[in-house]
Amino acid sequence: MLKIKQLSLKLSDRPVLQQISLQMASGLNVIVGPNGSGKTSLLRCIAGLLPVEQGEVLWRGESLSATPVQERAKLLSYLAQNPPVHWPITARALVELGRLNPRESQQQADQAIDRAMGLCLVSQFADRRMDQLSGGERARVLLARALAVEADLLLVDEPNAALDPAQQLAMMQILANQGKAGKTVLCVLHDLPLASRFADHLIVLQGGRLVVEGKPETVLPGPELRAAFGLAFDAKGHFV
Amino acid sequence: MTRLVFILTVLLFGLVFLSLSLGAQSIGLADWLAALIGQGDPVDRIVLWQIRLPRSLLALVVGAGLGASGAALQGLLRNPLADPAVVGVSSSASLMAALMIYSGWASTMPWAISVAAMVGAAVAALFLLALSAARASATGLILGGVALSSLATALTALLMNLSPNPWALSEIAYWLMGSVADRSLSDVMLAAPLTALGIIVLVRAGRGLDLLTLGEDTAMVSGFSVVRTGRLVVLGTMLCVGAGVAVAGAVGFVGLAAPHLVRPFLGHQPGRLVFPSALVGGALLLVADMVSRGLSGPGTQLYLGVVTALLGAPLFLFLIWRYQREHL
Repeated sequence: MLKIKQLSLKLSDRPVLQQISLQMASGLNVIVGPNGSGKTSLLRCIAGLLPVEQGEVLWRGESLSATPVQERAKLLSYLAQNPPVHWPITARALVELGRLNPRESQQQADQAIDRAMGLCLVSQFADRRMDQLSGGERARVLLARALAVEADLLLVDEPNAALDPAQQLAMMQILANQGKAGKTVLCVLHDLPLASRFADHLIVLQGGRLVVEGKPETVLPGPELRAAFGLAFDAKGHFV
Repeated sequence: MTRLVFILTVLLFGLVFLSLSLGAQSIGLADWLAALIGQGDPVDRIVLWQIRLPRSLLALVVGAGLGASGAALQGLLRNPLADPAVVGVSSSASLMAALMIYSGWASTMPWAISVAAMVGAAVAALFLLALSAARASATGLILGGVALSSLATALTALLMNLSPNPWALSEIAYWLMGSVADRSLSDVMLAAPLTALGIIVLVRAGRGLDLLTLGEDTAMVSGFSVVRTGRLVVLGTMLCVGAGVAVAGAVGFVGLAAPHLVRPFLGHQPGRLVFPSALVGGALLLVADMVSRGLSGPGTQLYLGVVTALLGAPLFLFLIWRYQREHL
């Protein structure tokens, strides 16, 4: 259970997050909202990349910001939007980066890496270089790195950027499966129909504030979402 | 990786023996072996132990330090064109060492050049780290390094311009060309431990360098301190380049070339490249030194730094060309 209490954050004196309180259970939790609504900042705050200035982020009752960095690295895993890959390493070498714990045996690490690569359907091109993969394959290898950590809290920022519809579905299915397996997945999305199809819980942010949260089928056609985006949507997330 | 390290180690031993057997004084195999174990003709023994051995070992040590620093700097700055010479670390170390020669402190305090060279290397490495912390792009970093290098070179030229006597001028000039000739075993004793320590520090930065492949955010969430990795690379580079410049002067491009020669065999993970790059760097400088000896005639000595620059500059151009082609 991830619990956020009265979380506020300012970046260069501009309020980015204001008094956000949320609870997320295991399953696929999706955050949506217009550009600049604070979705990525919220994720980065939970991941420890932005300071928690006011309020608290609690994971299973313990404050995440008070947890030492190396302990926190075992509790959560973070996949940034379009993360850079600076060297043309192989897919396998990239997934191994999720498992660099020096206290772990090589065998244990290898098993976790194999599992993650299997879940993301990337085992068959383990030895291919990252710069020789298609956009969809590359995105799934990056997700496999995040899954190889085998943390119970998974933070994913816009995993579908620049993917074709089939790849988007594949990506969301992997995340939904993680949620079904008992992980707490928190995913930023722009695509409301995808959110409607896969999310267990939908959270809407606007201007750094929590606007509404709940089941996708009730949130999507609601007046709050219409106000946030300036467009009306049906229960499937299509604008009408 | 173990196999490559083994092959490279064997190659290095071979090169050291080859280097020990080459020189103006021709020594037959039997005499050479006798001299090597401390027997035989005293002249052969002196040539082997006091002239050739320090020279070969220094080439090995300095090359190893430059190779490891090059690999670690490329990993830290995430740029395949980084090299202690290109980004101004070597020239800053050279400037400080030239200052010691200029001021005369080098002749009164034998350790002054080493300490000054290391300080110069550290200041330059810290400057690069600050640039990378300010999120400069890969090109921005290299350009910053090139600017630093130009400044250090200009200040060194100023020192030569203002040098109090012709002796200091020629001393600085020869020293800047880089050489491992006419060195003693005490130079080896100075450079080897510092370089070994530097390489150990750089190897320890390996996991952090690997994670930096995915950028600083991912490294931080994965529990690795980007700051610590940066400090390890700065410290290791300072020890390796500082010690190298202190005993051999300015020798460029080994740090650039070594990691590029290892990548086809080991892949691109920056952490895995550090130690093999040290071995390849040692081998490269041994070969370059043999080439410089081979091309030196009686009375004209070709300096090692000149040879590495002549071989390295075309390589640098080739890498830029390939890099541009891959990223455009």
